[in-house]
Amino acid sequence: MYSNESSSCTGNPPTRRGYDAAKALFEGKLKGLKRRDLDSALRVVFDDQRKRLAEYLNLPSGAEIIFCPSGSDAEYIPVAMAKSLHPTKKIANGVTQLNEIGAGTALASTGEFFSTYAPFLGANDEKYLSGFEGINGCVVPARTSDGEIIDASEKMNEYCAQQLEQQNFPIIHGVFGGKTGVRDDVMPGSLEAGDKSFGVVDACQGRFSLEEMNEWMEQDSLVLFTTSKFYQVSAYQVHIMFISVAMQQLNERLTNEVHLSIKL
Amino acid sequence: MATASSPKDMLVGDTGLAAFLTDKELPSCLENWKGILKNESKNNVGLALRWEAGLAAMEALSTIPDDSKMQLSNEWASIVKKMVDEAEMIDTFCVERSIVSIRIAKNGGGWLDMDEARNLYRWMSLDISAAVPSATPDEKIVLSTPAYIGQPVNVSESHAIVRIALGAESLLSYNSEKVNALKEDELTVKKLAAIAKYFNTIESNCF
Repeated sequence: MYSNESSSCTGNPPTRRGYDAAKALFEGKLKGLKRRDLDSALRVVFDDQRKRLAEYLNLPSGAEIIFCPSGSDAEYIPVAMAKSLHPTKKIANGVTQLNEIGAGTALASTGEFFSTYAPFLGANDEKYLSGFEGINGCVVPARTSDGEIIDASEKMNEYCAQQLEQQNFPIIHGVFGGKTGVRDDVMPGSLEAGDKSFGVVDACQGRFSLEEMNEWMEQDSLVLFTTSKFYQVSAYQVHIMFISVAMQQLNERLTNEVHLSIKL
Repeated sequence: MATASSPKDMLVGDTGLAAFLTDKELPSCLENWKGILKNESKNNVGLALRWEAGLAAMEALSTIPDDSKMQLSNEWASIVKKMVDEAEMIDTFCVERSIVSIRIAKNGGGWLDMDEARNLYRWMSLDISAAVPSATPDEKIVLSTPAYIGQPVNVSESHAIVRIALGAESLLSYNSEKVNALKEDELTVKKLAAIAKYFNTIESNCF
């Protein structure tokens, strides 16, 4: 039967091209493998996909990619990085465009489970991920009750200044296209290369130019991106984060500090 | 103020990041995190398959220069907006990049709310021609054709919107055959308008 397929958001029907590519990967490299063999094969697949993504998006040298099962759980990454880098500071996470971003984002941004089911945990009734408690959250809706767009960037600026004054570590979001495509006025960068704050750009619609992506990389933003919207991958959001050149240096600190804490 | 937990709490144990990730999803620069999250019995095959599908679309699109993609997207959005504005009972709420948000008029006045827009969204994906015996032959054609659009969004207390958005495949199609690509969008617009016109009839026929 003829059908007319338009890209939209999570729940797109799979495209023939996408389905064929996924099927070829499964049948050629993953089918029938278990445990250690599957682990090894998947490691090679993700490494290859990282390289191809970096090439397509023309990412600068030093940019890094983390794959996450969905956009909501991708929100745990900046929190984990912030808590690792600044273990004595309170983390304050500001999210914009509520109701026009993923339904789990606001919960995840304060370290809460956003579903009663997690990929590697299964069904559970936990409230917070372990180690993620005590995060201060701020949520700005996308619109007023009569549909007018709220200037979230101004509110995020105020929130960031307030948190810095209180010696907290702010994570500030900007949305580059929510469900109706609205873009916040400012895409936040990370202050002092991530030493004072993180800027997170939610670019999940994938409707950006490479020049725009490059600008976010230059200002050390952490960028969320998915192929479940413009790129029409069926069901479930699939997100990654890019960590720019300056953030690479912080990764070294971050890994060392985590390593130290484990030793303790 | 110090927070109670230490970084290792986030990584160690089943209820931290390990509930969502293993070392395989992390880049090599996070080698210490990878060491803690390593788990060969946890393998998210679906994640790799979904990325492969996305990469196939991205790599197909790489044949079009970035500037052209943006130009084509803007051109497409402008044409679809015009189609919507010329149709009866539907109205462009906003256009942002390649997303055209549309509100749907009710027969008795006002716009569809979220529950009603959810019904419309479901009907768009079905052959509902049998639910409207009084439809014209042209309307029957559009009502019988499944058309997948963006889910409804509740944008205000008074109404919700649905979306027609350009996707990678439709951009490729628009780049190579504009007339045919726009015919699909025209069909989607006509189906939205036909559902709006016959909304009460479709609803009363238990769809």
